[in-house]
Amino acid sequence: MAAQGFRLVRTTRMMYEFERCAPSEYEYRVEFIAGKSPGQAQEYRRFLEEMGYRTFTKNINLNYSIGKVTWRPWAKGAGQIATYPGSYNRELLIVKRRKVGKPFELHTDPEDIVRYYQSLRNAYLFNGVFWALGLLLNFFVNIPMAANILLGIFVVFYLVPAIFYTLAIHRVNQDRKIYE
Amino acid sequence: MRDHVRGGALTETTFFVLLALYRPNHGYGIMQFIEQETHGRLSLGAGTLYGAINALLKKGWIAPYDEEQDSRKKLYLITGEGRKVAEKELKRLNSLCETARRIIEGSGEGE
Repeated sequence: MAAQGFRLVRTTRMMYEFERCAPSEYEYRVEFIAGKSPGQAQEYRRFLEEMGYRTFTKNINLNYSIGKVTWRPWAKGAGQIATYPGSYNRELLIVKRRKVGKPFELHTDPEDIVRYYQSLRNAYLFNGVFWALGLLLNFFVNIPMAANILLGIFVVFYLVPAIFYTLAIHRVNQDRKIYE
Repeated sequence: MRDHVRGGALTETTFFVLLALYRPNHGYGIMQFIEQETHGRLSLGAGTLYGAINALLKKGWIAPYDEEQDSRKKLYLITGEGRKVAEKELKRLNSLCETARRIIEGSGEGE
């Protein structure tokens, strides 16, 4: 969209709103912030806006419950409880910046990259293990094969990225033994 | 951010953030300082800088600088403890450089 001359101006639960601009005038990065508490997320957004970036939040699920409360065991501290209104439906942070020719990365320090990858890996891993346990339990009860196949798809869907990020963390950690 | 208590070595990011805060500075100013001082070699991502600032605030090596309450941007300044840490790091680096110079630059003498 950016290359075609559109810039993001608003996000809603089911919509992205764009306005016309010069092609490739803006660039974007997306960050997974579901592990942050609403206060932490707000503070982070304030910091990024101070740096001259524009930020938008986006939901990762499509859920219209009001008063939703969910537990995120893979998150840390206050980020473990996500509520709507609050941090639920604001799992992704879209960061927009005017293209200036310099690289645009939010995480550059190897230690920080590892920490960020761990938050992604843990979320995928928890969900993968959760569905895998469900699949395992199904061996003890009479469940149609179609349901098991669906569960199996969920397991693969979550565990493949978990493995990918585990390997990525390992690679960065190997480099950290020599380079900072 | 690693504690570095054992080896006492700071990461380059930590050391540069401390140096950038010998004068009151805000996030964008810290980023610019580092880019200028390293001639663009080191360019910190905003997420990494945010993590570094928070870790240093927790350690008490930097503190919010409140004189400009009206300023929209949050300012930070190095603390006394932060200065001690930076000075110690300077000594460590000097000692490392001395060893490196002796070995690397002195290695051609015998040839």
